[in-house]
Amino acid sequence: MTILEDLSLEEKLTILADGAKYDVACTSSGVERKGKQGMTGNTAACGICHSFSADGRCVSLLKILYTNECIYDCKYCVNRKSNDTIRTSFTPEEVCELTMQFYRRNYIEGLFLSSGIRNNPTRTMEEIYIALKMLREEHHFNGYIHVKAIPGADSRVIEMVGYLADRMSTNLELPTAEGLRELAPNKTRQTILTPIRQIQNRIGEGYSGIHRIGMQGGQDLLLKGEDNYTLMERQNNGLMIPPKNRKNFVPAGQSTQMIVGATPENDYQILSVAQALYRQFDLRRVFYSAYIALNDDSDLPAVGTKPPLLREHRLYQADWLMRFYGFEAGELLTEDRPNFNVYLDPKCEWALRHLELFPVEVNQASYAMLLRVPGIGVKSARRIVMARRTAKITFNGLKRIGVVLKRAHYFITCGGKMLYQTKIDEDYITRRILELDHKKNWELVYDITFRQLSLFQDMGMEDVS
Amino acid sequence: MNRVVYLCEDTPDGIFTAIYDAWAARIPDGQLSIRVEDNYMMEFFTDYVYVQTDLDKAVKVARSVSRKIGHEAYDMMYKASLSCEEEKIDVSYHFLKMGFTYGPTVVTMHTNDTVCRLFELSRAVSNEAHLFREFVRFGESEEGILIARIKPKNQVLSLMAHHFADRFPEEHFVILDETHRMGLFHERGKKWYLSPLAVDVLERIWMHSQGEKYEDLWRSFFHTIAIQERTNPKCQRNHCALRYRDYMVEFRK
Repeated sequence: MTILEDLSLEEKLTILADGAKYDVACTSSGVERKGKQGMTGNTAACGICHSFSADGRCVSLLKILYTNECIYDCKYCVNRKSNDTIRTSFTPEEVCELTMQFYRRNYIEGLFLSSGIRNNPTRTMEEIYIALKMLREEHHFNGYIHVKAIPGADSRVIEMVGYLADRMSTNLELPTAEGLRELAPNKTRQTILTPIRQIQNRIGEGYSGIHRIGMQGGQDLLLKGEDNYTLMERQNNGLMIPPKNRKNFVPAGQSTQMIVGATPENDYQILSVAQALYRQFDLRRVFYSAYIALNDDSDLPAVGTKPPLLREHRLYQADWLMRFYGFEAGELLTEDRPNFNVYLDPKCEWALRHLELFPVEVNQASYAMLLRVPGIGVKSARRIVMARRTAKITFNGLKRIGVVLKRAHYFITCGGKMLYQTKIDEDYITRRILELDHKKNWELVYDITFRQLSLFQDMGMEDVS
Repeated sequence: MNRVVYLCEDTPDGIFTAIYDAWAARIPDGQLSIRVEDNYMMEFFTDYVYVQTDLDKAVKVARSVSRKIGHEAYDMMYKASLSCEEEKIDVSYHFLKMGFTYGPTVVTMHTNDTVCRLFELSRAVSNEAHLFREFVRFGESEEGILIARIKPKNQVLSLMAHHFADRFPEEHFVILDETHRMGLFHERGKKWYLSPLAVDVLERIWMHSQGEKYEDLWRSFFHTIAIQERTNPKCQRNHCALRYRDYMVEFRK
């Protein structure tokens, strides 16, 4: 492992952004905070993207690692100990300078700080704490901060970081404990869930006004780093006292991320885990990250395997259905049918299996039922409910409202009539909808631009011999 | 009887004044049209009325819309008045007439053509304003003044002003709208204001914004953060259309 300290800021930024880019969560949403005299920044509840990188993902936060040194050897990770790459770290001053100067120029909405584990988890968390404290208190930064809670770090350091951050996240990494055991030998399900539970409880207390914090005997809690240097000594005692106003603890809530496609879990398992996280841990978001094969390892897909982008897309669609459309994981998938259809989106698939409920009359159906019609989203369902108070809704009106009729018309009636003569028959409707979606899905799976046709791959000739 | 066309200044004040005057003149529906005076193509068999912008009249219209049809309706009309579409004032005028008949429920009549059109106009304006809140990029002058430049279709500056004034209370900043030759100015600790600018003045202000090291840093961050295996220029264009990229640091070579 080569550790380089005298790199230029640009070289460090490149190395440490490169190490952070596989983390998908880049949202700046969840908290509305006004600007203040004497400070820089505000936050918007809807979140603000500032750019879109060449892969089409939004760039909202300055997403960097504090250090890419790491004592762990998780097989899927580019920063694992056994990879021979250049290692470096930021100083707190550098993190502050980049954040402030980028923020002033409106390049970013805030900071996303993650880190490899240097020395030990607690020590790493302390360094993050120092950087964030400097950013908030010396640079008066009032914008968005998303920070990783590092599994295994002392709960009191995590708590202190929570008062400086807007959102915290702890990556679940793999959907099942077995997968984790296999690929991340230094992590366990337990160490990952502990900080998630801790942060959840703390956020809950902020609202109910009960404060419980064990600061007694605070000396032993800060493990000394290898250089025998603790946060206490660095900051002359007393700085570990939580602020008076404890409502501002991780106001934008928590999120997590799961890697899809590195281990053999099916969609049903992944979705059930996500549902449990939303319900039992009050997570704001669960992110899914299609595994990109970069590390050569016998336990992983071969290097260069295409990331399962369509599968990731289907999981996000299902995630939306659970969060905004009132669906349960068990309605979308079952143990007998544990994976999503490649050709149909989850909502359409569900509707086609429940044709006994359709067609529904737009002028009478409940809001919850409207949400379940393919082609009607949250906004159009709301507008339908509003508009039908004053006038009867026609197909023309639906088009005005923004309903995707070419998809919805198989499932609805207006004033008792369907738009066209349609057989309510699963095979028939499936075929028609597949025609609509074919091109889009194909583009998602295949990189259609600039690719030469290949007789063997494209014409299905491989099986012939 | 000839068709009557009211021509007014392309500002919310001008437009609201024209609505006031047209309303007072009680011209039958089919014969009235209200347009902005720039680039208007004259026609035969048409009487023209040039509207003199009058703040009092504009405020009266704004106030009665807020009171009688509701704040949401006023918000929609205000945003639509910033639109670049020619029909915006006619749509607003019809909406207003409907509003006085139906009251505040008019904004929920999503299936009505006029209401829907006004909604679309105002949505297009808010969307563009939101995108420029995201994509506007400041450069810094030697004195530490932040300077940005945009090329929007609609007059979005007034919708961006509050956001940035709230965000950067301690900064001096300027945003230049080259399409409408307007500038948004904010001085530390003071209220922001808009001011029309001559082309050469606009260019002269813009000259002070210099390329600098943070632009290079940002570019290298931007290029690093993309995952090569997922390259998807179409998706990138969907989210950030080419027309927004003129003054975005990361797309400049």
